[in-house]
Amino acid sequence: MEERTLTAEDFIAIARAIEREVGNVIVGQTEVVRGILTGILAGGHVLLEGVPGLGKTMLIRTLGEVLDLQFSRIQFTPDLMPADITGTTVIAEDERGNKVFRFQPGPIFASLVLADEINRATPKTQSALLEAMQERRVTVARTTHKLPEPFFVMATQNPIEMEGTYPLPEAQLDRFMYKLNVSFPSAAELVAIAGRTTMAQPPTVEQVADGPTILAMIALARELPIATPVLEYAARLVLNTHPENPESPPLTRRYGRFGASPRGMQSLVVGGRIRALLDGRFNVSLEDVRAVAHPALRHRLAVNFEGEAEGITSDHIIDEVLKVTAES
Amino acid sequence: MRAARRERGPALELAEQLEALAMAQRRQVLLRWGLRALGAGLLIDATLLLAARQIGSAVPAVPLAIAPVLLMASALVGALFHRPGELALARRADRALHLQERLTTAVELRRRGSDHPLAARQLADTLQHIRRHRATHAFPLLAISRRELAALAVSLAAALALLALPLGGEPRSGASAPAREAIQEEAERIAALAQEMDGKGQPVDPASQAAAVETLRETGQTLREETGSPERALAALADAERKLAALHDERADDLRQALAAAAAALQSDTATRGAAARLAQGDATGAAGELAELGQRTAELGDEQRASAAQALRSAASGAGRFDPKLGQRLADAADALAAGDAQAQAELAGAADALKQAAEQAATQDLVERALAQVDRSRAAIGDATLAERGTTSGGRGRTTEQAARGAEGSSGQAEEQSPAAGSTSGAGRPGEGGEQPADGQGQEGGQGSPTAGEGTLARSTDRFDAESLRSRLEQMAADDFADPSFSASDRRSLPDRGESRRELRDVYAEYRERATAVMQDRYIPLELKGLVEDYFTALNPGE
Repeated sequence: MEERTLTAEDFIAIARAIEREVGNVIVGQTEVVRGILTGILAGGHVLLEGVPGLGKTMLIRTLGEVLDLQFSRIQFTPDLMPADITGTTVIAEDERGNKVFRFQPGPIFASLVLADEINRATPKTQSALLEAMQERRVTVARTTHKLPEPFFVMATQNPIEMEGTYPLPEAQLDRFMYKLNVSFPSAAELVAIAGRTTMAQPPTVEQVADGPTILAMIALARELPIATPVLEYAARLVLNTHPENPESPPLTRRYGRFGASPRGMQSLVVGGRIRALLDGRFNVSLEDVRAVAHPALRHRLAVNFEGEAEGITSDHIIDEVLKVTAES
Repeated sequence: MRAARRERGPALELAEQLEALAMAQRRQVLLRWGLRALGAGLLIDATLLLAARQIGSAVPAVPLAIAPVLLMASALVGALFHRPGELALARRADRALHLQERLTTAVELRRRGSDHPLAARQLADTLQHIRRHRATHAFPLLAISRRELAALAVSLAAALALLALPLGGEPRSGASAPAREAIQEEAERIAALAQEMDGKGQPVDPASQAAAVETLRETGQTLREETGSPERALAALADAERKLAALHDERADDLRQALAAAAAALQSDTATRGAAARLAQGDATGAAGELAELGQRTAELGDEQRASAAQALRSAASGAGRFDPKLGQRLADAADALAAGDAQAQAELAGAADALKQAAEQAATQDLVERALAQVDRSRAAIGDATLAERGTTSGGRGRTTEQAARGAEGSSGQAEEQSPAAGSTSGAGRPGEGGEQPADGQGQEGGQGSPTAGEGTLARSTDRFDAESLRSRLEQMAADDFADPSFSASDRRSLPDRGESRRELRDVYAEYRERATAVMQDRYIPLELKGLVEDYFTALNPGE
């Protein structure tokens, strides 16, 4: 794939164009769109939690069109096998008529992958996907196959209908850069959705970027400077999510089960970088770190039984951590 | 300007901006630390003034200025040497100017020496934002918080109030009408005494007289000016007392007794009776003149007359010599010369006359000083009583509570301090263990009810300001007052017994003395435990009916 070099201004212009084009199709959900875009530009993966029918598939398909990236959708079900995701080796005939084994790539071999209702598949299948997400390659029949670049997985979870599901273990959740909560649209948004989706001519989008451009944007974003005090602040945030940390706020110490991992710190920093660039700035601020704290950390810390009984969520703990963590 | 900045380059411009910020911060720190130090100094001053008021003293201006000046100087020196790091400065500027960590990042990038295009773009962005602000926006000159400002104002107000208010914490204009009247009256009394002493015809030591008169005049004037401040009036009286005490001669009593003894002895002979009469009248010059004239008439006197006059002089020498050896010696020499009838008799009698005159002058001088001291003490007591009475009135319920507490204490100790003179004859009888006629509690309460006015006036006062030592000096002064009282005539003085002697039976004077002591205890403040001592004293002396 050809390498491209972008300026910061190019980055900002392209990112805003992507948001604008997606916004032509997707009504509202600006935070979710921004979060997914951040995940793509950071080279991470995003977990969406929301009830069915909120336009998640539409969103990622639109993104695929806007970014000119290959898109695939995997509907996770209890009988889904790892090979159904990664692909398998089949017997085929070559040009001379000999029988040969040929690798048939699975749906994961796409740049944008929608793993719908990921918690409905068995842990074995989930694990196959999550390993691919982490390693960005799959090994089938002792042969390793590299996944395309850019590679972005957007998984969804249904917070209701938990029966017969296999909740993702914490270690697997940690592999998602962000966890975004998809809220139900407002009345005005519902009206707009109805207007857009029931027309004879559905809205169209323009392609504003492609794979190499996205890769160049990812590379540029990782060069954005961040000052040491900001890094230290992010580190303090992460540490304050740990219940065993004596400096953590009382809410964490009382209701926290475990805190965010170093990947949480990475997500804060990378997410902060993307946010700063999208905001037209060339350095990461404390505010950037604060703004991405919820999506970057909420799935990395867990509340204990007492907290669950009292209705405490990880978002409550993050709110408290943000409130008490000193800026310097 | 922009072109010039571009020419200098972003890195240099960043350095200049940081330098400007550093200067602004230094100025801010100078002022802030200076004001904080001033506040601390004022707080120390207020504490000093408060402590000084507790002991009834004033603090001079110079020590008051030391704490603020020293603290401010230290703070300013500290601020001058205060050099915050570049990164810390950048962080503060970021926060103050809402630069979203632009400056901090730029400073770090400059340190790291990054050549990435994003680093250059970041620096340009930082400069673009920081140019919109002045350094003083980040570090305004007056950056003291409201709380600190309020603390400074409170310290200043407290120090000024403590300076402006008179001792005792009451405003100058806040003295009650009785206190003002008392001060005014005492001012007039002191001024009148000064005038009287100034015009006194009798021979005295001019320097001491002038000093005493001047002290009284100054004190009277101060009292007239400080009618609104009993504390200052009392302080002026205390100062006057110190000055007058310096003029007082401890041998004054000896001189008086020597003169009295000489006068009594000279009364015994017709030739010296004139001198004795003059001496008794306080006319020292006349007495000296009589003796000198006797010297001149030596030749005219017969042997018998000379011997008789010489004997009178010897008696005078003997009596006076016990108190003033010098005077006694001169009188003895004159007696010897007169008895011998030699030519030296006239000179010796003239010398004795001079010694007599000198002793009389000294005694008269000390009389003046003691009268002045007595007046000052009376004035202090009058003003103090008026002030205390006023406080007892204004303190309302608290005063009554104190009184009730004091009554309870009296009742429990079985003492009858507040009894009327009529009840004084039985005072002490109710003390536990002495077989009192009435129960201790009942007597105590009865005593308190017997003279409610005196009880309130006395008991409303604080007892912790007096001790045995001050009581002793007070009693001595009261005795001196009585001695110096014009109603206490020279004949009264002459009738005083010699030391160790008594001309009246104890049983004749006991009741009178005890009644007088009881009256004093009712009129003046005496701590309860010391009243008990006085009662014990009279009980021990009681000769029985």
